[in-house]
Amino acid sequence: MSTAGNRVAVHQIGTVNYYFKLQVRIINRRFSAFGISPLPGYLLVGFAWAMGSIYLFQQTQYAPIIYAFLALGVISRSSEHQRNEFLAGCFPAVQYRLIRLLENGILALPFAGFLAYQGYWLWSAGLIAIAELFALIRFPSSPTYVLPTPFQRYPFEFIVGFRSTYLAYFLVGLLTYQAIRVGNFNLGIFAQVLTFLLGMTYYFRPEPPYFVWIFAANPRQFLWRKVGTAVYCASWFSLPVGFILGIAFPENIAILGVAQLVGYLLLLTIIFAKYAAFPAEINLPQAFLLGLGLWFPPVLLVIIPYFYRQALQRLQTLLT
Amino acid sequence: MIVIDHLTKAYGPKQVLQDIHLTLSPGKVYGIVGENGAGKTTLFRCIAGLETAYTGQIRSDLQPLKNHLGFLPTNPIFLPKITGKEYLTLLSIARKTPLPDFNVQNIFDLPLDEFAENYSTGMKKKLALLGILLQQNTYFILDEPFNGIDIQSNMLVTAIIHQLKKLGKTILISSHIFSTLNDTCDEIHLLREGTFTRRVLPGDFAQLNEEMKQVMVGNRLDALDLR
Repeated sequence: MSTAGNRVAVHQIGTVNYYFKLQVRIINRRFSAFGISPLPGYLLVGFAWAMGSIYLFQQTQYAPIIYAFLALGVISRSSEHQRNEFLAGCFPAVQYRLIRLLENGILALPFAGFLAYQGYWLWSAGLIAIAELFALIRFPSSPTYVLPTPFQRYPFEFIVGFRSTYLAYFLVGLLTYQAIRVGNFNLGIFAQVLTFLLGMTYYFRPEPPYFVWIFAANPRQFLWRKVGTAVYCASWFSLPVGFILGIAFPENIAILGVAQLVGYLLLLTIIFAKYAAFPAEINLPQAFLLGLGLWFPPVLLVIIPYFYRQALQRLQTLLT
Repeated sequence: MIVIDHLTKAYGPKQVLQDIHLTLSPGKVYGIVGENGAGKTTLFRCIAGLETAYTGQIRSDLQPLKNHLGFLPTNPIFLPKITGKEYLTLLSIARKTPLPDFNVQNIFDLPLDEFAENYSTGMKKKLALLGILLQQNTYFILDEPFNGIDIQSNMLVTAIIHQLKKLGKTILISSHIFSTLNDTCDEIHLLREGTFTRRVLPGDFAQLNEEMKQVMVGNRLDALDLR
């Protein structure tokens, strides 16, 4: 279609409608890049989300808090400053507001719906209200305040990750405190594992190849340096939680030790998986294997060497 | 020394570099000039090892070349939520060189405790340059090192290049600002459509500048019919 034709078409279907169609197209392309057709992709994400939600609400009475926290984390990303500056520059004020309210509403709806389904009507309504409030706010994309971290000499994953998710560590502290207060060891273990899950998220996205190329190391040395840094940095959060829980629940020290070990193995897995896909993002089969490892950790003993070999091959072109 | 022999690189059917030959000696500064899309950045990326699917050979006396090479890209990339200090630390530990003394070695007076992604274009360039200088490299590829930097820093970068030359380093520069090449280079190579068409020595730099003006500007302005 010609440019003039496109303009007419856009005008006809309406700007807001066109914006959302474009968003769907972008998501579809992401699925394709991930190695899956869009329709199965939507079904898979929906299924994983439903299973995750059900699992969370089965595990802990604090699920509504954690769930609302997670939902707001997802929704808040649409309030990012640069993105909103672009949208506000593209669309007239009324359409811009409408787009923002609609997209935050769409993002909040599944979470709010599940909270309502579980009987937490107040939480559900509160989540929608806060989501729509976020539509009126622009969060700074690059805050000028530099949050100090203990990882200055260990750039970069945990520095970047900690600055993006530091609020989640308050949740870890809160869960640990509650676990001890009410004598719920499972909740404590969840807090300990959560520190590792947070650490894992810091390795999902590949860095630009330049930041691998700069290393004077061969692929094997590079990977083990990354592992060393990850283990050191993750220990800053997981060991204190494990230590406090060990004092509160001395009869379960062995379980805490195993959880710590599995946590390190999970970090190892995500690092190898990341570089097994490098410079692309982790693809569907790799994500499936990762999920399998999370669900049934003994499988990690097979998955880790598999990812390790792939990562060594992938890095061969950049590191000699 | 870096020796490039028969270097040819294509992206699919598009031939970007064709049979490039170049010898880069220690203590010398080499300039590469050419229009946008002539293949300069691809050539640099091939030398750096960031592009691998090419034919021909790139050899160096220090092996592996990439571990002794400081590469300043045209648009340096910075990770989000990383301060200038943390960026420099990353570059140093990646090469296992001593951690910088930030108070002494911050010669561009950069705000190293602030996020690098919030720096201006010129400050980003200076931070990236400082990073590769602190790595104590032997070879340097500087892709548009003067882009976006202020006049004072421009003079400082020129002085740095002269100092590197004195120290026997091998330097390859591209710049669209001819005067900066004139001030720093021992020889300039003209890259056109992926091939070196001329090698120019200092005595002929002025003539090359005039020729480039003729080719690039010529009577194109007439087509605009500016009034």
